[in-house]
Amino acid sequence: MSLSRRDFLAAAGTGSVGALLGSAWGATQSVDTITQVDNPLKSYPNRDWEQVYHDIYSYDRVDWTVCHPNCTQSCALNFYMKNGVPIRAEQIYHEEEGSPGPGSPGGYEEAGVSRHWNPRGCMKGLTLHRRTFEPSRIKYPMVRKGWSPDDPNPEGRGEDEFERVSWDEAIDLIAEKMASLEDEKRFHIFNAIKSDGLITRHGAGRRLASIFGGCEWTEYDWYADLPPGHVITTGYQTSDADASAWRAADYTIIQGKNLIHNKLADNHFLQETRERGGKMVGVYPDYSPTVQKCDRWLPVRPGSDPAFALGVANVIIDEELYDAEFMRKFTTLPLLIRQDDGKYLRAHEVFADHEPPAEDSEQRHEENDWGDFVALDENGDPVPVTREEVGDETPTTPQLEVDTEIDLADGESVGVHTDFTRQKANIMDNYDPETVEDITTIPADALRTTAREFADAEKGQWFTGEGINHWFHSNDSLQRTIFFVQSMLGNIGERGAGYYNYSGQYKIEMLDGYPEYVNPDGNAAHGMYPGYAFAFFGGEQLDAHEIRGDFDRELDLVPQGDAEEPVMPTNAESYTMSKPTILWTMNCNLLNQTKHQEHVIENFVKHPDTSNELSIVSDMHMTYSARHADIVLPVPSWLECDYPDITVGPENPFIHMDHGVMDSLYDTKQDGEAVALVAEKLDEKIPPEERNVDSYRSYFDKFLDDDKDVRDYIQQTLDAGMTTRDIDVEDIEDGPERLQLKTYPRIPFYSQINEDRPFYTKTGRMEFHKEEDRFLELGRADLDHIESPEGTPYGVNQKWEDAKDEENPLYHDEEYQFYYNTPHPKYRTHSSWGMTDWNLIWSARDFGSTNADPEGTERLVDDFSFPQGEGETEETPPLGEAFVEMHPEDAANIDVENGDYVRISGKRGDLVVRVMVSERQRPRSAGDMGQLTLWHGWWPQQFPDDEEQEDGIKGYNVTTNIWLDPAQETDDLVHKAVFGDPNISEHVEDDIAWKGAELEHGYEETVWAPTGTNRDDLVEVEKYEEADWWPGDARKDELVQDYIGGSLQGGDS
Amino acid sequence: MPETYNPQLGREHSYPYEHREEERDWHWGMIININRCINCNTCSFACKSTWTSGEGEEYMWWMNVETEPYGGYPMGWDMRLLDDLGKDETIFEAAEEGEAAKGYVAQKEEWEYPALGDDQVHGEYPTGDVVESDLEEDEYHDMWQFYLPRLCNHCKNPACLAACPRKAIYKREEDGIVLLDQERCRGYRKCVKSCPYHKPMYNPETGVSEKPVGCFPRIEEGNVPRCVSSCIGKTRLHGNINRGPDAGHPNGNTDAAAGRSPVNYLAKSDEKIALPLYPQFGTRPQVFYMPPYHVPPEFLTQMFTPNTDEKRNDWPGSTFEESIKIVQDRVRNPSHHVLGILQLFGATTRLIETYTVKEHRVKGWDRKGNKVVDMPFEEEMEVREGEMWTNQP
Repeated sequence: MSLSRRDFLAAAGTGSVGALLGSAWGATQSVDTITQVDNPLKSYPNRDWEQVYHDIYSYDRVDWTVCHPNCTQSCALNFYMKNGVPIRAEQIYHEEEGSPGPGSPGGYEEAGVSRHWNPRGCMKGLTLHRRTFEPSRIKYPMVRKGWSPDDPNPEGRGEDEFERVSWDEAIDLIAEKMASLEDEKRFHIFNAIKSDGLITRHGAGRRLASIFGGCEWTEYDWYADLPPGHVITTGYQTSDADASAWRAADYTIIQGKNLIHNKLADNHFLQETRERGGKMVGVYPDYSPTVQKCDRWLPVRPGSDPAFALGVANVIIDEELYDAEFMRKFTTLPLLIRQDDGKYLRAHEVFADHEPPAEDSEQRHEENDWGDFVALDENGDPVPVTREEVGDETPTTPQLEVDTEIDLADGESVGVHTDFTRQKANIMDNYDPETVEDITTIPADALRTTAREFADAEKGQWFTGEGINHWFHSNDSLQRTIFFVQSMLGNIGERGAGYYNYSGQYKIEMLDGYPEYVNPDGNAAHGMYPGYAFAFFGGEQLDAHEIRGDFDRELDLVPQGDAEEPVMPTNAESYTMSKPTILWTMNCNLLNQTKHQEHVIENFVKHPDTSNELSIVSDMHMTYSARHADIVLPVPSWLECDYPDITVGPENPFIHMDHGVMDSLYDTKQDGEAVALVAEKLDEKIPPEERNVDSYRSYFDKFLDDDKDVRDYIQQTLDAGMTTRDIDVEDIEDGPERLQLKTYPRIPFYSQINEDRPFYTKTGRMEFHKEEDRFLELGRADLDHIESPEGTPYGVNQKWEDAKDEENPLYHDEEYQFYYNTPHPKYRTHSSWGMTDWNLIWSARDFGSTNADPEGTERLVDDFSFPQGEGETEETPPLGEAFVEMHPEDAANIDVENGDYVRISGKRGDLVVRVMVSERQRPRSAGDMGQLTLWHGWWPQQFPDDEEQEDGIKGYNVTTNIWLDPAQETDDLVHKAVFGDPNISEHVEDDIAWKGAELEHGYEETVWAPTGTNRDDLVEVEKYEEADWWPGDARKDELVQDYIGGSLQGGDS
Repeated sequence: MPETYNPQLGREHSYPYEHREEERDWHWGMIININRCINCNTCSFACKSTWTSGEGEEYMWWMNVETEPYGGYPMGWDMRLLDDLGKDETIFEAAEEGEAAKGYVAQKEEWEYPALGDDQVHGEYPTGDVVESDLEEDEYHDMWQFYLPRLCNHCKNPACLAACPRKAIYKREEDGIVLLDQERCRGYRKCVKSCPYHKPMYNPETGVSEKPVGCFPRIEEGNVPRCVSSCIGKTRLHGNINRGPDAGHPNGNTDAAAGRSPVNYLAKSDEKIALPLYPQFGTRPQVFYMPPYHVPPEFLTQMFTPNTDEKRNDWPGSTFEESIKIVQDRVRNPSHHVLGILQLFGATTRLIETYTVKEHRVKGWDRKGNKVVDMPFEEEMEVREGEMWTNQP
């Protein structure tokens, strides 16, 4: 901690800054003769000077591009250019003379939507030019001095200096290393976003991995955004609607999602529900900013979310508020389940003449035939129900509640009940509102009221978000239960009704011609799961049982692939387990976002025995990840790109194409071009007979040959997709177009509900009970709330009945008494814009100062030790620094005031950070456990050093964990693949990339994978150091209580 | 000193200059729907990137959004003035000898943290309880925050103008925008001191003060200000606040609707739904806010009404607290007409002069009488016919 810096700020606090700044703040100019002004309220004599502001406003020309970071939105922006430099950005409006943007007039209007979508683009887009000019930019290719191809010397990562190399040298080093691989699978491409940078950027890396025979990963699985409960219930990745559909809802329950700050451009559609008579109820542990938009806030104990939804289900069942017809038509609720083994009863077991499915489960998957199912008709007679007999085609009117013995074809009989009987019994026994109050701390009467109102509403929608997906158990059981509630109420398949998640820029399926580009000629990269790389491919490996919450070590784990450790159950053979000898990260600050950061840095990145011999990072900025790379490649900002690229998102109907507006400031290349150059070198280094394809270069020649056009890659992709087959590159050069989907706005499961098409499950229905062995053996086949494996004061990893009377020793004995919450910030997208001056000042809130040295960011990039630095930084405050929010009660308990520093420690690491005392946070007194909020995406140099910790590993992710849910480690589950709709895959034309697509089983990244979860971490907090400077605290002003009470004016105070 | 009638207060008070005999035909005005505001500060970034990205302007945010009740740029700006003023006393009446208006110069460190208190909330954590608002039951959130976008109000009694010893601040004849003559100013900072909203700011590099310009180069072209066109929350509508029910067709174009502007309807009609910020200061600010309906009315009465015991103006209700409650209810449950106008928010960059709302459809015309908006309250749902189409799924 640099005392002299604080001394300066202490001076600022006492008002002596004026003296430091000298006379600049005084009136300096002498009075001269003035023109007579009579009454300036009426008129003013000389207004020629107004030209000053016309000049400031003026520009030479307007160009446009698209801002599309990992926020799931994508917004077209006009850039106002002066002398070749963008001076400001503005959102593009439909058909506007005043908005010269794409296709003017045109813009979004050409995309077949109305002005309701105006305007799109948040404050981050408006500082894209400042980010482009900001000093943390990587200016030329560099190689770490301690690295050589034969001796990677990983211990030096993050510490060694870099030296500048030419692009030729960098490319040659990469290609040489790739050519020397004995197993091509050890070449890994990693990127964060799959629906962005598709063709001419990191998508090219994926194409290279495909033809080379390598692996590719995405941040999406690793970062725990996957909502597996969606796949378990519907067989589909995530059900999300276009944002414009939200507005039609009569009632919204929004749970753990700070939508107003994370879906900035489209948030108004949700807020507008209230103007149209809609009601909003929020379920959050803290006063999320979205709470202010809610009519009612139900404060919930962190991690207990599934119990809330189960309580709602309890009320709906108890008071018979459900829609029995919808349940019969679209769900497994009327299907019979064998009580002896928990499997759905099959028709061939009951009817002697009914054809059984193949014995071999592999074959069943291939034939999409898992047998037919059985329900009881009105007379109590069994009827077979096939996978296709859904909706109006459901045979008979099956009974929802059955508990009986049934005679089987083989002469035996077996006890059966319906899925509804099964779920009802459990929910009625275990989740009445009073019990749910014990679990969640939500008052029972408020839950009842909410459930009744929600059931009464014509159209109800329910949102959850990343915050909940990051909990070990919430990320499937909550989601499954919400689908259960929504299907009991018929809230699926129409505008304004549904269950949405919107976690992650994963909706590459919206661009369904994409396989044409990334999987050319049938070559496809192997999928990989990042958590395994970090847990098992380093030096010291993590305990496989522990990271599954399997403290009793009951899971039977066996070696998989080339991993030496037992990491997978036997029925998960489809997982790829390949060590990343070469890891090329594009478009992602992987190590900053990585969980269990100390383990990852120490045992994967820097360990002498790491499997990773070459780490390449392509980025705009010298991020934490770039700093730990061996080769760093600079990429242009969206404003500087030579080649256009396309993007799509999950909450808007648009396909956008960006293009640069200015020359690149530095020696940058787009990923596509860099990859193409590597491919060219591979042809030189690898003899034809050893290549995976005839020529690597030929797959990238449009980047390399002057007479070719990379836009042809984009056009090929568009031509191969149903959503884009009628769109030409020229069309999107003039502005966004609307994707060609079944409905606008896009309504998930529209065809299932309105056209009787099956869901992507074995039964063709939304499945609540699961019969797959993995769920049965883990006791998770039905809807339940299970306490966290770590984040609870009660018994860990158990259902409430058992958990409630037990104590979590970590909490009770070791006093880890805080949840550690890392929600997404609004001024950054993850860590991007983290060093852009205005965004940094605002994201640091009370600790963000506009008076900081304007050279501040320059310096912090140079010495990489922000905020205190090596001497020079002592004179001025930083633009901003990280902070943790803590309830005043809990802060007072450890004698901490606003602005003081604390050390947060957990089982996996610790960090020092400033405290922002915040009434928004959940105090320990609200239910034993307090909540800390440290906003996601800070850069490590925005945290102070801990003087007692030598490792120097710091940041918001050092205390988080790698958790892998074993329920997701199974090949048995059926799902829809990312690309293509199996229901209609025979109806599309031959040139569509997914013609003939079928249901899938086994691992598929971004759909079905053992997702990491990290919210379950418990931490303790201790005071580290008192601050000797802090900004004013309005809450301590003596006037503030009168101000808040409305009695300040007029001498009342 | 001349007396002037202040309709926001319903009484006369002193102001140093005589007003025009008749109101201008056209006057800059803005409506902000606080209920839609999300504190993204896109408006602030839009404003700053357009107007104050030069040297000496690093600390200047002409447009800022602060979180009530703990935010404030400059720190605690309104608390201090509220405390200094008597009940029913404008800044002009409270002025000390030799000054035009009561005020103070905020110190440099008070300007230093524009995001101070951002997203903070006031209240006790509702242990064992819920937080709920229900206007019919007079129930408001007992734990609350809201976002207050703040900008120059282009007041009809501008304190900055009144205070300038150089008479370097004036109100434009054609649109009422209050400008500070950059060539005439000598940096006395009387405007900085007098503006109760603290929007004139001193540039230590140039030695002169600057104040927000109402985006006049855009207004002159018939476009709305940057803070309005950039608002992704669709919280804002800009236009001619003086265009009342008797006004004719814009530009004489009979194809365009005559009568009120949409901003005038929201701020001035019998269905008043938007209120000025601290009218008690006496400056007749021309930005009008649709107040947050979940916030206790006591606080809002202090912030958005003259806050006197006696209610003298033409607002609804018999007390100001009642006015607030009536307006909160109108905001929570907007009429068909108001809902129509709400669709104009963020619909176009063009400045909407007149409009119609009929049968769930709203239309708007610009100052030339050109139709610039014609849209239904809700888009039609489209379903593609044919087997091969999918929503994936």
